[in-house]
Amino acid sequence: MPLLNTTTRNVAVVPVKHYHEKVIDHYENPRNVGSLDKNDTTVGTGLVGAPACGDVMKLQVRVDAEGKIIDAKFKTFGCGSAIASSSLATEWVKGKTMDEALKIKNVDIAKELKLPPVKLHCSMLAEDAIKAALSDYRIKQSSKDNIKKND
Amino acid sequence: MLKLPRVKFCSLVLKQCWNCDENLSLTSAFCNKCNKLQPLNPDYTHFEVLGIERNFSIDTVALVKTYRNLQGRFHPDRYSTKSEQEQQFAVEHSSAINKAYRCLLHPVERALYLLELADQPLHEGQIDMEPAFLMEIMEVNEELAEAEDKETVQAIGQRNQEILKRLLRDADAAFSAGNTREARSVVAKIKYYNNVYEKVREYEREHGILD
Repeated sequence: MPLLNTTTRNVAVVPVKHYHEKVIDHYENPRNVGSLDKNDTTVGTGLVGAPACGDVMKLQVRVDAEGKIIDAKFKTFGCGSAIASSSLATEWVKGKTMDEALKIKNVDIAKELKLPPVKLHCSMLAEDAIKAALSDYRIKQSSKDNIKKND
Repeated sequence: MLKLPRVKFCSLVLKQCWNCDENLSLTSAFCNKCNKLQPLNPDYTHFEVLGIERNFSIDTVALVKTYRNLQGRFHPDRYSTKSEQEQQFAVEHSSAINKAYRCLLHPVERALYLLELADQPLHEGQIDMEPAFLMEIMEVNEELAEAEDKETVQAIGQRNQEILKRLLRDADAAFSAGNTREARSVVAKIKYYNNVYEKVREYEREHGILD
């Protein structure tokens, strides 16, 4: 039944085509999956969510004394684009200073991964996660300083 | 000659049968005089298509009955010997009935649709989820991803069902009180737990637990 075969093959190909190969690469070989100790004072944790799709993304950075991001990890439960966006975000923030990392914009992530318009919010989530992680780190540092002052 | 557009005072008064020009009744899809099927009102909500009250809480058993009854009356097969117009209208009615039924049968879809009708769809604008809530979602997802046996997965599924049940009750209360803001934030939570539910179902399907 050659005709039937062609039809099934077409159907099977369609969903894959939604994702660009870069997204598939990050989805299949995600970089930096895992967790850092969230109670460590050198670690900043960003936890963000996209309620419309029920995605949740955790991005963590470890910052050294010079303010440089020396490690990054993520865990994302969501669609392929959300996983790829956060995977790429961890790759990009590593080795950057905090100020440099804050300059990473969702459009850069979306451009790199060739995300379609309906998936732009996934790259937005990754940008928010970076910001949230760095803000958590700063809050931890300032409260640590306060404790020192009070001692 | 200058042709003036006909002024519509009220759309209900001016709707007439496409076949015999008789004024149409508001509630019937058929002409009272010639009994021909009329086009579907494009402004109808899913609730109006099925002729049920706009509510979050609906009787799904009754919904199934209503659906079957309506499909019995509007299915295009019933119009195969009728005029081309009526066949076309039957296709419109029938597909709207299908769409409405599929949407309203599932409580999550129904909730999302009600938010859309209230002009506050979930996918537009920001909803701030509390960090503690996001942490909880992260943890249950991790637990599920690391689960090694079906007992663990089913225990997670069971717990998740309880949470969903409670949230659906909260959503019902918010929708009934006309508090869309509150409803929207509850529905956002439901969406997260529903994803967990879907994952548990997927696991069960893959392991042949589900019939």
